Amino acid sequence: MSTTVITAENLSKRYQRGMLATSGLLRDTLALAFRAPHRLLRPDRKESFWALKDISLEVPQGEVLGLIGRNGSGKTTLLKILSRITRPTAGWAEIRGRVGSLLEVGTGFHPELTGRENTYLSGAILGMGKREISRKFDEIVAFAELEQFIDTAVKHYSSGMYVRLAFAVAAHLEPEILLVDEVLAVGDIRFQKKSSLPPSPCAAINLQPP
Amino acid sequence: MASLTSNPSAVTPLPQPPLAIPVTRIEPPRGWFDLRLKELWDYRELLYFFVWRDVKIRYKQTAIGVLWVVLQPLLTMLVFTLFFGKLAKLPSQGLPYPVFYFAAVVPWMYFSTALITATNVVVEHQRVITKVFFPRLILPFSAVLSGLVDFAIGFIVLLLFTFFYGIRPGPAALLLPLFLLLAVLTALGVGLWLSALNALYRDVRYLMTFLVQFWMLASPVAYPSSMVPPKYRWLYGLNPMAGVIDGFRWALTGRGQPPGAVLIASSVMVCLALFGGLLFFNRMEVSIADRV
Repeated sequence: MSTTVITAENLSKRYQRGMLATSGLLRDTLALAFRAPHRLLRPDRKESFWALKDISLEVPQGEVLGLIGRNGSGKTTLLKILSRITRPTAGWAEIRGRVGSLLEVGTGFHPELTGRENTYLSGAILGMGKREISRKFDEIVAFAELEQFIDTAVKHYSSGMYVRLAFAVAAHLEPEILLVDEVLAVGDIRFQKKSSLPPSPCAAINLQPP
Repeated sequence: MASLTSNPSAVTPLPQPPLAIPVTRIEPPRGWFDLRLKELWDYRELLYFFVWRDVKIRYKQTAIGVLWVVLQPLLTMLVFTLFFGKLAKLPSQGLPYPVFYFAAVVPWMYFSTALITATNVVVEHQRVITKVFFPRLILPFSAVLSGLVDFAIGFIVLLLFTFFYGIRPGPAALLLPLFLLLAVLTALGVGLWLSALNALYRDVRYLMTFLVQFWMLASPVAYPSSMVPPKYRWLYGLNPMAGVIDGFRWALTGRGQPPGAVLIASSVMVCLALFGGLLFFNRMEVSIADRV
């Protein structure tokens, strides 16, 4: 039998456009407070827009779900809400299981650190524990094909090496739910073939360009 | 009231899962009084990694590397000794100028560095914040903790220094950790406010140079607090760093007065700043990813 691992009800997200959102300067906020104080407290409806409106979905265990849409249709926003990076303005969602989200490859990499150090750092940021990373370390390095360069600072890597290591770390995250945002197209064709399947998640939301 | 919780006990029992599956509820933000310290504890390993990284990269690609940790307070102390001591002849509680200044510069440098790092930490992690979830509170905590390594090294040099000048710490030295803790909490409390504000208004960054300079002059780093007129002492005591620096110097050398009322005032201020800072930061955290 299958259980629902992601439930979302009327998820909505409103962003503000215009003065408050575009300028972070205190001066502008003060100027706005002076000219139109009411707008500080209650964002003008005209200056805000709904990036997401009333999204409801259910993802059963074991299902791979892809979201397809034009640029700006809210795919990434939905992923950001489901991975708790940002909060919805209205509605709710419930997620059963450990979530791993890959919105970008190489999140948290620091150029001055070596490949080894970055593997640990990036793994921890993605939600792996230290022991878990140690256990998978050799596998990650082998997957990235970087055995000889693992103790070199990442800033000396070629962009291909960099991306391969970043992806290898992410691919060894074993979440129950994997949220992926257009990051699978990485490396040369040979590497892409190797990494074309996410590592057996219970459910994945998979974004594709239109 | 928790607006976003991982609460295994709230799950309706399912037939299948052998282990409690964490259920994450995602809702619009609400509520002020949720400090979310438990979440921070759950992510303590990531906190460790952030601190570890900060320490690792701090002196990368410098020629003399970790020597800077010693040189920075040492040079500051020399400048103070020369200008405030030899030239301005400020009183030093009967201590040799180098000891008088070094004993204050070490905790002060920890504090100012921690405060500046904490203020910038959210902005500097903009990319990570908009791509991965983790309790944002980790950032200011890690900023404040990572400075402790530098402090420890500086402190050892300070100890050698006082020994060299023939000053033996008495039992009061046992209180040193207390003053250090107060410095950490002050940096954290104020850093929480400033880092969240900095994420929204970059003006904070430009204010920092002035703030840190002013704060140093308002603390007994370059002069003893006995120079402050008695009628302004209470005002002076509201600055937690006054209690920290005075107490640090006193605990290490035994000179000066043990901080009493000043320390209590300082502690109260720190608690207020910290508690308010936690609430404010958590409140802002909700929109930080959208607005940083």
